[in-house]
Amino acid sequence: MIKLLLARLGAMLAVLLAVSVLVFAMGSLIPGDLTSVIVGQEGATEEQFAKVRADLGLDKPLAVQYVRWLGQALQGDFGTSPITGRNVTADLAQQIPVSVELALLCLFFSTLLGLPAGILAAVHANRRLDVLIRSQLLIAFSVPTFVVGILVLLVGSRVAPDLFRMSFTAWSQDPMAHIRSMVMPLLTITIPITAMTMQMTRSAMLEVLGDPFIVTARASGVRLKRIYYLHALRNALPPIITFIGFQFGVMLGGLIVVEQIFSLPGLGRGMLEAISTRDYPMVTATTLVFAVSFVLINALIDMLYPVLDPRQRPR
Amino acid sequence: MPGQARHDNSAPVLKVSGLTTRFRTGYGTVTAVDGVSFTVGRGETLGLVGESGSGKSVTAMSVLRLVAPPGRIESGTVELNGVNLLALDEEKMRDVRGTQAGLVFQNPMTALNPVFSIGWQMGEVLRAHGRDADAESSIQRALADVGMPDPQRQAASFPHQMSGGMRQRVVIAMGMLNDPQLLIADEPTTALDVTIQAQVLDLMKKLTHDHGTALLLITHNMGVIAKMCDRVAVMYAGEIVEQAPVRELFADSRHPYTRGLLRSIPRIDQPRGQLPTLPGAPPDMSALPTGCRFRDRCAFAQERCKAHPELVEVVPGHSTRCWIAQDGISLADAPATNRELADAL
Amino acid sequence: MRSENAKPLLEVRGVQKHFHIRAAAGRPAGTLRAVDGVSLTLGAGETLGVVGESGCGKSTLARLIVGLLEPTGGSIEIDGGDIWEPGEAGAKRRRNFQMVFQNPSGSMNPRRTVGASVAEPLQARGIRKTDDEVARMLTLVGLNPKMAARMPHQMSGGQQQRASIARALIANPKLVVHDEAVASLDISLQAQILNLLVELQERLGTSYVFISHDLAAVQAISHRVMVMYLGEVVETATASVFAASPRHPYSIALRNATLLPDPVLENGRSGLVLRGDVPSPMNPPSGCRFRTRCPLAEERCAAGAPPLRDTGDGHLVACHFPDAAERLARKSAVESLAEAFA
Repeated sequence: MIKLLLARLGAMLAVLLAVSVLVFAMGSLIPGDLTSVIVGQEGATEEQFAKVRADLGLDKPLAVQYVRWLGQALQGDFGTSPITGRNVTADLAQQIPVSVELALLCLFFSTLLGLPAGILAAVHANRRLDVLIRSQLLIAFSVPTFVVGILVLLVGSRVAPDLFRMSFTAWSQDPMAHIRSMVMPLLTITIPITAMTMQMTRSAMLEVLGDPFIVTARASGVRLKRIYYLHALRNALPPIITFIGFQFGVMLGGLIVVEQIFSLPGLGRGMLEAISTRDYPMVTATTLVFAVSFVLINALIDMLYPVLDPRQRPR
Repeated sequence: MPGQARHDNSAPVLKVSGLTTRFRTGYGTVTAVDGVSFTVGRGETLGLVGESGSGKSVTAMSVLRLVAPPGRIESGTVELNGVNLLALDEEKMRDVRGTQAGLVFQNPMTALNPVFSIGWQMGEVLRAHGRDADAESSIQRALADVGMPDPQRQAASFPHQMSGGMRQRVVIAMGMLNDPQLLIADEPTTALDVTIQAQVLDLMKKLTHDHGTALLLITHNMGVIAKMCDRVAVMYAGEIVEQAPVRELFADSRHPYTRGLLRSIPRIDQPRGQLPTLPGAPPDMSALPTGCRFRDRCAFAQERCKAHPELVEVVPGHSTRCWIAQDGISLADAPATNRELADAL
Repeated sequence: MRSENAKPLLEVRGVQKHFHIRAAAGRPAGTLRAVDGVSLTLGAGETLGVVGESGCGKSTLARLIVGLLEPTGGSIEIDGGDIWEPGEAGAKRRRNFQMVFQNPSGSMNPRRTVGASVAEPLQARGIRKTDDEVARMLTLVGLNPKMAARMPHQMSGGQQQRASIARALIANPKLVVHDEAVASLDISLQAQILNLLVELQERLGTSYVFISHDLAAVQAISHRVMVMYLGEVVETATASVFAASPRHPYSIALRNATLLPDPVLENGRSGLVLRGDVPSPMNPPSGCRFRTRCPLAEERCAAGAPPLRDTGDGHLVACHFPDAAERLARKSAVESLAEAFA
C-alpha cells in the first residue's frame, strides 16, 4: 500500500515540475520583457536598461532564471509586482481564501442538491420525474454564467435589497455581512454545477442499477431506499467524486466571471487584473497556484479510489 | 431415493396458475409468459426447461415480482404457502423475499456487490428482515453449510477474491439463510466450469433435501434436469408444452419439441456421428404464429394444428400441449406428415 | 476423408506461451504460463477436439495455432513448414488457417453486410469478384444466398454462426480452429451446426481443431480428443478409446461431471467429483499440476511432473499411475459402500 502511495506521490511531483517549467517558459515567451515595463519606454538609456535587467537577473541564461524562480517560489516568495508595487505572495494570500471559500461552498451545496436529484432521476429514469428534473436543470445550465449573474443581481436588488450587498466583506470584519455578500455569487455559480452533478450522478447510478447484484439485493428483501443509497451509490461514487474533484480544480480559476460581476477579490479577478495590466510576475504566480491546486486535488481523489473500491486495494 | 417424487401430498409450497407476463413497448407487445401453471411441493425439485424466448427466466422473476419494467404481470395467481403473492402490497412482498423464497442467480461473477464484504452482504439479508441478532454466527454457519473451508475469513473477504464456484456457494448461502420454503435457481451453474458445476449441483441437492426446501430450477441443460429434478415442465414460446415426472419425460415424451430436443443433444455415451436435429430455430416472440407455436418445426404437423392446443393430461401426472399426442398415440408411432423433418429426427 | 499418409498436416511441438503480467493495483507481477509445452499432430480432414476448463489454455492454444499469437517457445508447422518463418514464407503458411469464434454476433462487423464479411478472406488475397463465391458458400452452409445483402443484426444467432463458418471456409483453408463455436447457441441449434461442420469436413477435406468446454459436443464431432489442464496436455486419444477408457483422473472427473440427459443413467452414476477450485494459472502447483485436486495424489506427484507417455496406439497420458482408472473405480466403489452403511 505504501509503495502505491509513494508511486502516486512521485508521479504527482513529476507533473508539478513539468507544470512549473511550462508556466515559466510561457512567461518568458511574452514579447518585451519585464525590464521595459519597469523602466518605461521613453527616455531610457542603455545603462538603465542593463542595470534593471541585471537587478532582475534577466541577463542570466533561462535555465538559471528558472531555477532561481523555482527556488524562490518553493519558499513562497514570488517577488514584488512591478505594477502594483505590492508583494505578490501577500496578494495571493488574500485572494486564495475568497475563491476557495466560494468553490467549497458551491461544491457543498451543489452536491447536496445534485446527488439526490441525480439518484431520483436515475430511479425514475425516463419517466415524468426524471424528465422534469433533467429539463429544469439543463435549462439552467445552458444559460451563460454572466447572464445568470446579472439576472440574479437585478432580481436580487428588487426583491431583497437588504440581503443584497454589492461589496465584499471579509468574515473577520463582519460575519453576517460576509454571508450576505456571498449569497448571490453562490447562487449564480451553484446552479450549473448542480446540474452537472445531477447528470453525472444519474448516469453513474443508471449503470449500477442495471447490474445483477441489485437484483440479488431485491430478491433478499432489502428495502429499495437502502439499495439505492447504500448498495448502489457506493458503486456509483468513483465517477461522481472524480467529477466533483475535477470541478473544484477548474472552479478556482473558473470563477473569474462571477468574481468580476460581484466584485469579489478572489483569484479569478486578481488574474484578470494582472493580465490586463501586464503584471507578469502576478500572472505566472497565479497560474502556478491554479495548476498546483488542480494537480493536488486530483491526486487526492486518486488516492480515494482504493478506499471506495476494494478491488483496487493490494492483495 | 433419487428420481422419485419426494414431495408429500399436502398442499404445495408454490402454486402458479395462469401466470401471464407481458412486455409492452413502443415496438410492440411480447407475451413472455402466457398462461403458465405449475406446482412445486415440499422437498420437491421442479425443472423449468426451455431455450431462448421460452419465458422460463421471466417466469422465475414473475414469481418473486421482480420483473423489470416494461414487463408487467398481467394476470394469474402465484400462491406461496397458500398466499397469493400478486395480491400483496409491495412492503409485504418485500417481506416474503429472502425469507419464504430465496433466489440463486445465473452469473456468480456479477451476482454479488463488488464493494462490500461477503459477510456484510449476507448480513443485509438478515437485517432486511430484522433477524440480525447474532448475525455473525448465523452467517458463519451458513457458509460452513455450503462447504466453505474457512467461514470466518471468507466472511471478511470480497467477491473478487473468490473463484466462481465459491461465489456461487455464497449466493446459495444467501438464498438459504432464512430457511425459505422455496428456492428459485435460475441457471445456477451455466457460467461455471463443469467440474465445479458438479460440486454446486450436489450441494443444492443436499441442502434442499436436508431442509425440505422446494426447488424451482430453471435451466436449458437437459443433463442438469436429469440429475436434479423430480418433475419437469418444458417451456416453448412462453407456454408450457409438456409436464411430467422426470423419468417419464425422458423415456416417453409426449411432445414433438421435447422428443426432438432430447434426441438432438450430443451425449458422451454416443459415438461420433450425425445427430438427429430439430429444424428451424426458436420463434420470434414478437411475431408468433397462430395455432400451435411449434407447428412450423414439427414433423407431425397436421391441419388441426392451426388451432391452438391446450395443455391436457394424457397419462396421470403427464400433460402435453399437442393435438396428436392428446389422441393417446405415442409419438414414436405417429404418422410423420413432413418426411424431411421426420427424417432429420 | 481421414488421410492415412505419414506426414501430418499440422505439427505442434512443445509450444509455449508465457505472458508477463505487470504489477497493478491489487495484483503483484508474475508470469502467466497460459500454454506450457503442448504438442499435437493433426492430419488432413481430421478433427481434434480440445477440451478443458477455465485456465487450461485452450483459447490461447487456439490463437497460437491460427497464428494470432506468436509462441514464446516451441514450434508450429503446417505441411512441414514453420508458420513463424520470417517474411513471406511464414505469412503464406499462416494463411492456411481460419477461425470461428464463440460469439456469432460479436465476430462480424455490425456495419458491413453479411456478404461483405463473408467475402473478406478472399478480398484479403486480392480477389475482387467475390459475389459468386459468397453465394456458393452461403448455400453450402444452409443459408439463402440472398442473405448476403443483410446486416448481421437482421439474422438470428444460428444464422450468424453459419455465416461465420462460411467466412472461415471461403478461402479454402487447410485448417479451421473452432473456439467454443456452439457454446452460445440454443441447444436445438447446436446439433444443426455440429452436423453442418461434419458435413462440410467430408465435402471439403478441411481439418478442424474443435475447442470446447463441453465434452459431449467434442465427442460428437472429433476423431481424436485432447484434454488440457493448466496449460498442459494430460491425455490424448482417439475419440472411441477416450469414451471407452479414459486413463487420466482429470479426464475421468470431466466425464463424470458431464451430465447425461437421462435420469436413470445419470443418477445411477457414481464417481469422482473433484473438490476445490482450479488453481490459478499464474501459480500452478509444483510437479503434477493436477495433484491438488486428485484423489490419488501421493508424494511423487509433488516431486515431479509426469511426462506424457504413450500407453499404446497413440493413447498418451500424463500420470504417474498407469492404472489410475482402476484405482479410482475401486475408490469410488469403497466410498459408495461406506455411504450405504452410514
